[in-house]
Amino acid sequence: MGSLRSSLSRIVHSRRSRDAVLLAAAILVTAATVNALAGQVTRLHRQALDRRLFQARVAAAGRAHEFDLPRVFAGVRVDRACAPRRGGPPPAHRLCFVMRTQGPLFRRIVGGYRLPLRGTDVRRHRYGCFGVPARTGRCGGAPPHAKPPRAA
Amino acid sequence: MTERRTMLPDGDSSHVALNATVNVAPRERRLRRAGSLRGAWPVMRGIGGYGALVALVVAGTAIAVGAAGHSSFLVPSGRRHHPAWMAGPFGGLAHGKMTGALFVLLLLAMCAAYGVAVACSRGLDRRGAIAAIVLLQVVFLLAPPLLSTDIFSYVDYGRLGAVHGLNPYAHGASSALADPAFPFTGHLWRHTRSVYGPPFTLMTYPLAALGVPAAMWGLKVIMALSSLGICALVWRCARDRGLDPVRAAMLFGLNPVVLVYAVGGGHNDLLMLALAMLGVACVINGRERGGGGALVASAAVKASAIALLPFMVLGAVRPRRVLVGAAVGIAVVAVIAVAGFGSHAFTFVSDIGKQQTLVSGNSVPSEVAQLFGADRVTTVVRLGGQILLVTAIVYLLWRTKRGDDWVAASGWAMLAVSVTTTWLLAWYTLWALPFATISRQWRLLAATLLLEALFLAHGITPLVA
Repeated sequence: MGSLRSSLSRIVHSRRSRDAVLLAAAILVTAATVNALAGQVTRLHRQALDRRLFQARVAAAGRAHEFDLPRVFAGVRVDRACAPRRGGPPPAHRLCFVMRTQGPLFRRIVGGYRLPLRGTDVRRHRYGCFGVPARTGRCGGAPPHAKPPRAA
Repeated sequence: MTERRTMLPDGDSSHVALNATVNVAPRERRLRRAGSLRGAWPVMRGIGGYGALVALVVAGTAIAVGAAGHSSFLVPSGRRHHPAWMAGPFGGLAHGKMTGALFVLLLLAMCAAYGVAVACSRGLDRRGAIAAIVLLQVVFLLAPPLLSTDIFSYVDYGRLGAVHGLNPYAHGASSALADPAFPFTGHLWRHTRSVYGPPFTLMTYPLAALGVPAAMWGLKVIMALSSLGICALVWRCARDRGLDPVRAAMLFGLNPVVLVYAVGGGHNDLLMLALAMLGVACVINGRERGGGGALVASAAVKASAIALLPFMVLGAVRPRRVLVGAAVGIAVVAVIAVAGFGSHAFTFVSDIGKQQTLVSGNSVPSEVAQLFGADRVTTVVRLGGQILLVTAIVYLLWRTKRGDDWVAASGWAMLAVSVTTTWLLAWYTLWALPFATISRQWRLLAATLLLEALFLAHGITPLVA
């Protein structure tokens, strides 16, 4: 018992063991930071791709000028990109595309929905769903009422 | 040919046998070169040191001036409305907008120059080093509030009490929506009550009554003076402990995180650290009662400093005097708190507990959780961090009791707090720095600078990615 205690005490007291613990902690923290940085860069890259895909889709429909820069919400397997519509007939809304990602580069639009200009992106606010959100019943809202034109 | 070079007693080697010169000549050349290099090293060190100081001042000034020019990410309080009073004296000097990439470049230049300046500190004249420290502190004092909205929270809490008659320990900033300081406060803190010590909040009352611009600049002046105070105290402590005072003061006063985030942002962590270092200086110089009192005053600004008290008690020659000083300090702070804020005075203790449940993406527990596949900080990770912190502090106290350096142990304790918290901000990574500069343990300094470097790497990546 005595020898066990003394050997434990020797381990705790030895500078080499303290250095080993410090070095292990430094390596762990550095590895965690590098991993987090890599994740951050990947996420930013993914957001840029999503943004570009959104813009390409609305440009293909000839409506690129109608939408502002999209904001991307990155999920685990599905990303959402929503952009407010700049002009056009009322009601003003945000158009959202749901994108499925397969690997770091490949992604495709699998559906979408509309949202009021303000408010959170939750089921009860979504309307005009198409694609996967429509099939899975992710739409629970109604289009906001357009203001009636003012009488002349 | 293998004959060794023989020297005459008077050191004249001119009589060396001719056949030996074949071998000796290259060696002599090498020796002469080494000798001349050795002679040139102080000159090179001086040139490198002064060059690095100039680079630090240039890059620092560029950041301060660039931030004052237009509304940008560098001044989060001025994103929507960037009034001229917030831009400060550099407001008219900036041309063009500071981009993320340019800021990162300048910050990296500052970090590199800091490393070179500290490495070459022995080649620098002490007056040159002091001038550079003071100049950079003044530059970042004159910059708008950088990379944080906290200074407006201090102003807002002061105005709640001084102007609106509300208790900042019972109400958040949102209780006075029409207050001119409210639009500049951070979204996250609009409904939060003050988590700072009551004496600090009371200190902001007279400033807050002068108006938002005067209060903001007044607080920036106080924090910059605190930073200079830390440099002076670090200098004094390093000299008393037989270390190089110039290097110690440079390590703190020229640190880019100190300058850009703490002085630039006007954070009260500088006031907390200045009072804590005053306590350390008092204890080192045999004024233990003053040391205990100063440490309690430091905790009355920000409660984190109280973690240092057991180390001071264990490390002091006359620990009872430290306890007496601390007890008197606690009594004074309690009287001020109750007189100023009544029964609400101590709600900040529970609010600090609530704040510890917050998670920032660049905290170490958050990154470690991510490394092991968790997408957020789970209860297990949080608990693991807390166990690690308690273990580290108990171990450090035990080592201090057995005669280890209490100043270094205090630095390790502050570092352990920064590493295990789930809510890590740039200025929290500084808590260990003044202790590291006056400690003989290079490991503590290396670990503190590593944490800062990793935090900066995390913070600046989104700006360039």
